[in-house]
Amino acid sequence: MASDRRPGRVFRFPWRTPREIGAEVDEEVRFHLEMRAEELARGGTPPDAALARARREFGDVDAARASLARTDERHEHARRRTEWMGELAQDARYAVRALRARPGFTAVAVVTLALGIGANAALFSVVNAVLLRDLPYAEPDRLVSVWPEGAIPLPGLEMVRREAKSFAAVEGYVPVELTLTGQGEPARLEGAKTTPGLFGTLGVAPALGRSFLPGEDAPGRSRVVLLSDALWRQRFGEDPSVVGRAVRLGGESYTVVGVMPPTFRFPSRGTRLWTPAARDPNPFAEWGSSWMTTVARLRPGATVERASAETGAAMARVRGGFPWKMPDDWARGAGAVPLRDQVVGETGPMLLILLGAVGFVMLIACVNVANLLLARAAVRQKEIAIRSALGAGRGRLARQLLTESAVLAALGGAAGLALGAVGVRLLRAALPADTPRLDEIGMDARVLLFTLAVTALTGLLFGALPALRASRTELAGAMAEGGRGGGGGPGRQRVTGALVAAEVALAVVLVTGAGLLVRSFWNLTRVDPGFRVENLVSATVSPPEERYADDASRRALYARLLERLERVPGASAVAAGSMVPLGEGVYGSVFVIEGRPHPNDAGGEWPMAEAAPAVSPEWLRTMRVPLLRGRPLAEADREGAPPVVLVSEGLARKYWPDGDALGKRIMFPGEREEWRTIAGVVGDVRWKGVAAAPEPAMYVPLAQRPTGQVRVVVRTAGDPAAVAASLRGVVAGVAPDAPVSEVATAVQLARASVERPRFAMLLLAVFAGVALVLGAVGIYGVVAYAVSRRTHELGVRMALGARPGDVLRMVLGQGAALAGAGAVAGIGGALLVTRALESLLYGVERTDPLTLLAVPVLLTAVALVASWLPARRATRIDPMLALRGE
Amino acid sequence: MGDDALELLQGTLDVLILRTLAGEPMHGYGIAQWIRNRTDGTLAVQDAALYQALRRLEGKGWISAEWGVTENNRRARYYALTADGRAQLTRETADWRRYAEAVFKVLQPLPGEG
Repeated sequence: MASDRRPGRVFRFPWRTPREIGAEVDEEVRFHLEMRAEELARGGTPPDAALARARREFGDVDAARASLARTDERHEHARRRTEWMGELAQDARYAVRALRARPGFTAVAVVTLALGIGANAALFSVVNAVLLRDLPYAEPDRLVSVWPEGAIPLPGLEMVRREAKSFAAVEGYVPVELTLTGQGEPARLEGAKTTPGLFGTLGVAPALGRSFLPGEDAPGRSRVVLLSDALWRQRFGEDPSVVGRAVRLGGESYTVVGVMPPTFRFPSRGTRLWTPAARDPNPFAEWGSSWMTTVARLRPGATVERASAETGAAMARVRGGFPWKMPDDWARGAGAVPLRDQVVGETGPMLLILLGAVGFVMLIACVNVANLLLARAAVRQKEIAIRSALGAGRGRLARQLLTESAVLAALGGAAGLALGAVGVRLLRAALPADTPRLDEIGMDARVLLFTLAVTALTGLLFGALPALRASRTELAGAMAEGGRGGGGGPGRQRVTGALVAAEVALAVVLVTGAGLLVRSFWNLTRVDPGFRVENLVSATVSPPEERYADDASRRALYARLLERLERVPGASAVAAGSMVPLGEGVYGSVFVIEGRPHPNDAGGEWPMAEAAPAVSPEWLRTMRVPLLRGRPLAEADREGAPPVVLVSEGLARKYWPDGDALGKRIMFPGEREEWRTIAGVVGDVRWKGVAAAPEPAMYVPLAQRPTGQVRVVVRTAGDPAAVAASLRGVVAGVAPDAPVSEVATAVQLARASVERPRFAMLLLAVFAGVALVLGAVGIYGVVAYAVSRRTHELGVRMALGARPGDVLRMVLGQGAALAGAGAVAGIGGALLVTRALESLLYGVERTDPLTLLAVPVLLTAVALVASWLPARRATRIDPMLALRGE
Repeated sequence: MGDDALELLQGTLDVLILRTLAGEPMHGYGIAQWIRNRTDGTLAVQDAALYQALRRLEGKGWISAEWGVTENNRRARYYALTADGRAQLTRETADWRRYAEAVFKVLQPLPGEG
């Protein structure tokens, strides 16, 4: 009841419960009835009759009571709402005024938050596009990748279609390169051979014309082609009548049947055209060469698990279906995974790691702002005490301070969004070129929503603690301290200290992660790829197949080409090979060793050279791959001469562990039945990427196997870029109809092969840098504040004879203690968290003692520097002034 | 009170209450008594309706309510006119006066009728 109201509420209109309202209505009505009865009694009516009459006059007492109580409750709610809104508006106005009164504080807080929120928004945009957004196909959740790490021949695909009942459709594709002629300058284009049903299964219709018909994979009917939107624009002038026109691909005539929409980038961004993969009546040829990457659509209701199990069983059948015996472990463990997982590939884990890291940055930013607010709240304690004395309730005060945080968060969020928009653009430029769905990265409604959520959460995170603490201010204590600007007792010091230590710990985790990645990357850049990367240019030359159909014509062309290239100014050595290390399209080959059981009969694994290029005699010298034993390739190793081959050191060791491989003979299946003699052993080369171990390799003379296209390599005396620029013209002079593609220096190739680790390292290093700066600002803030709080005490100490050195040590000690506590916690955290980084590390353990020791030392150094400024200020305290300042 | 008179009666009751509170804050019983005394009992106001009217006026922001103590030291809920209520009273008084004059003019006997 009203009489026992708590004194703290004296100045505010108290909110009443429904029960209190009912009681008050009862009291009011009772008062009325009693007064009326008394009056009637004074007029001579007997007391009993008087009360009855009073009730009669009143009307239906109970109904009236209920109705009055209802009305009162309604009014109460309305009033509460208005008052709440009024207070909110008042709080917001007050908050804006308070923030404007301290532009320095506000700027630091907003910039800190904007950094955190912006980084989150930018990175989430990438995660959203790459990992979260649906694939641009019909019902993408039902699309799966079948045996993503392998490939299945066309007839095998048919068997899977028959055996695995979970699939409504099973389709295949294989990337190919095709030469487009007669449509401007000849071009080497990325394309894909597909099963005719692929487009229907993905659920994507051409923008123009039609996709492939069933049966267009029959020999003789398969000369049809679908163009990509990009190719249609670049080479066909967006001509809508292109459908039905004939184009020349690889010397053959194809009919254009349609143009795909611009959003269709299957299987990769660079794919320019699609043709049906033709069936081959010869089973040996078809099983041997028509290898397809496989996608399938699940039947409604089918699960990926079920489909995966069925795939495993089907692949065992496929293994038995080959016209020759396949190794028993071929396709073992084959299953099905959601297509999304296959598309995302290795990028997914990296992005999630970076998103985690950016979350750490956000946390640090929150801690920093919370600390700023705490320090500020300490200064404002008197103001808060006065407001509290004037009747502001504790809840109201907390809400007021939270509103201030919310306004700060909103400002930080707005600035962060702008920063994020810039960040997204930077990220798109910095992301590895092979990042899936790179073009789809941008801000959308989901990113905005995410940013909003992050902003709200940060507001709560950094605002809650200071608001709670400040609203608990002890009235009497704060007032009694008079004009000194408030308490900052040991409790508050402990809280800020703990916050800063936490911040340091978070920073240690981030910097450790970054340190490990930097070391990994450093290791990667120092890996010897087995050839000299500097001053080397390569380019792919693809002579049109119809003009250079036979070996002799290609052999002659390559000889002419090399002869011309030797005369290029700045070229010190030139050579040609069917592939180039670290480039695209490095293929291997199996082989048979003379005198050993044939792998088919033995049922074992085929010996394998993971890279088996055909190279011109000067290739080793041009690349600077050392000859270890035997002889190099020579001009004499030409067509008709005894077949020879060079092997890499690793391959020699693997297959001839006991003796020397020199003089032994091997044979490649599919070549003429001829034994090749191993003429020399050369150094190991990393063909498929610097992060991988060197692959076992074999080198065949180009003259003995003149491949359909070559990558020419030029060792330059000076700047390789200059030679690179002139390459196209030189080739055009020799073979005007041969497209030149993939012109790149070896340095560029090497860099591209470490693009992903570089990106991860760069981003994490940036985050760690931000964390370091924020951590330093945090330590500086706390120590500076502590010094200003202790001016009096320090003054007394100096008056009593403490020397500046003592004071300096004392203050620095405080900063070091904070950093030390944080660093210890941080190392523990780092040991846990860096587990996630393992897949990105190269040549360094995640528990690398050097990094784990160096990082805390670095942070402690930063902490000491951050404490140095306030410490020096402390030594300059004039004892007299400090004491009089009381 | 007939049903057809209710509309008029409600408005009338509201303005009567505002007038009653023009002097000083009063509790509900006091208002009822005041009206009874001023009209010599001509207007029989049902108490339940009076309290409903008080809530209505409170909702419109024309009066406010607060607990107080009577001269006999009993707790009672006192109603007071707000600034808005005072303005409303002025408006309604003028309206009533015009209304009454108009009705009175109509009801005056025509020449030759008497």
